[in-house]
Amino acid sequence: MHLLFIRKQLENSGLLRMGADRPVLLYTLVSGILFGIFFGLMGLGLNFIFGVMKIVNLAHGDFVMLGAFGVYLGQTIWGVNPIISLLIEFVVFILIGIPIYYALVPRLLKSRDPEMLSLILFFGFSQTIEALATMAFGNNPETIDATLLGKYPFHLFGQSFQFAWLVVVLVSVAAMVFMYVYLYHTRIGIATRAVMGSREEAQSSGIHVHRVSALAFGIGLGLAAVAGGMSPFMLGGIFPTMGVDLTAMSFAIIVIGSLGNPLGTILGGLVYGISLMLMQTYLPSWSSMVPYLLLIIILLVRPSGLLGRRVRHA
Amino acid sequence: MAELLRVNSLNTGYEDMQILWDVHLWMNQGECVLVLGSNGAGKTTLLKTLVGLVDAWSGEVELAQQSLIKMSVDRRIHAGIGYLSETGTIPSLTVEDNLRLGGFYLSRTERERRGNEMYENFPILREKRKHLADSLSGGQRKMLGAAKALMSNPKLLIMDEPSAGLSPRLVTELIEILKGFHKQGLSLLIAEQNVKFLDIAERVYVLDSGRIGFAGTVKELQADDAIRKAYFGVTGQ
Repeated sequence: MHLLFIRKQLENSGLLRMGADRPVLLYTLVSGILFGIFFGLMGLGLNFIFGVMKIVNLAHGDFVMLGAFGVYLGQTIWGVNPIISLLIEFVVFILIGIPIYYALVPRLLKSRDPEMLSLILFFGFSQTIEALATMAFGNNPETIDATLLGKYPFHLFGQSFQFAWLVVVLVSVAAMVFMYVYLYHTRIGIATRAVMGSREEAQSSGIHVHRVSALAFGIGLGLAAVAGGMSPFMLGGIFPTMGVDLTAMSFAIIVIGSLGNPLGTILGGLVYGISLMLMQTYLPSWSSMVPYLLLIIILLVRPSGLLGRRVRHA
Repeated sequence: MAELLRVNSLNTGYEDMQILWDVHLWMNQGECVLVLGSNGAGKTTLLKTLVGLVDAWSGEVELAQQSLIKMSVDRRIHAGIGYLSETGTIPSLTVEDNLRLGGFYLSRTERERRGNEMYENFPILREKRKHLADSLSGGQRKMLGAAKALMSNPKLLIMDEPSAGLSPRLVTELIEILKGFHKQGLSLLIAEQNVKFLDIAERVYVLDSGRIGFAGTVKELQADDAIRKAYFGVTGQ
């Protein structure tokens, strides 16, 4: 459904009627980069959680969906600007994430096979969120007016793009800069990277690994909510069952970049975005296969991901 | 001298496999105690239990009359334990970040002062301060691990086979550095297979299949032919 929306955006821009000449390719590549930056944000929270805890949050897409509905409800009920909603959501999801971590993760990590158990547990969590969201919001897709983020198109390399895309890219870049500063320029960031490097070694250096991990889990959910809040402007209609697709997409992105390396997610997002746009433009009927094709190719050719070192454990 | 560490009737293991059986051990402040034993004797499990990385099944561990048994690892580290594991460092962090991690809870001024002290004792680390720990040689990594464990200014430094993977020259160098800290009053509990560490130790425990097989001074150990044959035959030294 989201891929159809992206294709419609390309059709509206006149791109698909122009034929395969240079402007088309340029437009496709620039759109790919813009979408790629957003996709990087989409995978960032999932990869951060995996990097710190070595567990796969299969409910990631559902938190993205909740973030999307948060912005939708804020706008339609209270008329809150989506950017303000994003900031509120980021904090709220961090605060929700911390107790969820303490309720689920320490028990998981004590089990014999935490990675496998995390898949099962978070799959159940995902289904529960989806069912509750369906009861609350119904099955019909909801949309947000994209002009809320700006009425006039912006121009890049002689091409016009929706202003909302620029805003989404700026929000995504801000989230990535936040992550970089958090990880590399704060004390808690050193502790977080230590836990990512070796949980036991960090623990025996006096780091309270559960405190660090709980905050990381909260931030992971906060980033998912921010990506979700921006998704109506990039992916179109939002609906309670969109989470599964988004989890698959995010998973493809982080595997391409490198599992466990949050900054690799940005590269994964760019590769995914450009590939998707090229397929949408030149082989549209095949484009829904992009995430799975990229997953298979990366796993066969470079299993540790494009930026991968010895970080993969699952 | 005041007692620093006391371990009474310690039993522990992994899942349903018992590794340590009724271990008793004590050491005074400022003392260096060696735990000798062959591979699989339970040395690492003993140290990990003292640090809190492995839960004790039963028994008591006290540091300066304070019970550690119910404390989490981070609280034990704050209580004054420094721990050098076999790996010792976080490979994905730089030398500088590893040291910052070691002194995580110190004030900024104290952390910088302590960091400079470490660079003076381990000059190679100053040269490599911006390098990833992963890129260091085995010996340099061991030095970094020791410096990281010393950053928090512990009352007791617990070391798990510090000589593992080091050349004889580096082992001697490491012992000299440790002697320097020991002279300043640092208490050391070292699990080793390498008897060179007897040079620095005052007392020795020999761990055999998870049980204390010998406890005494270095002189008593060296005078005991049966013990020497039984335990040092395997070290080849």
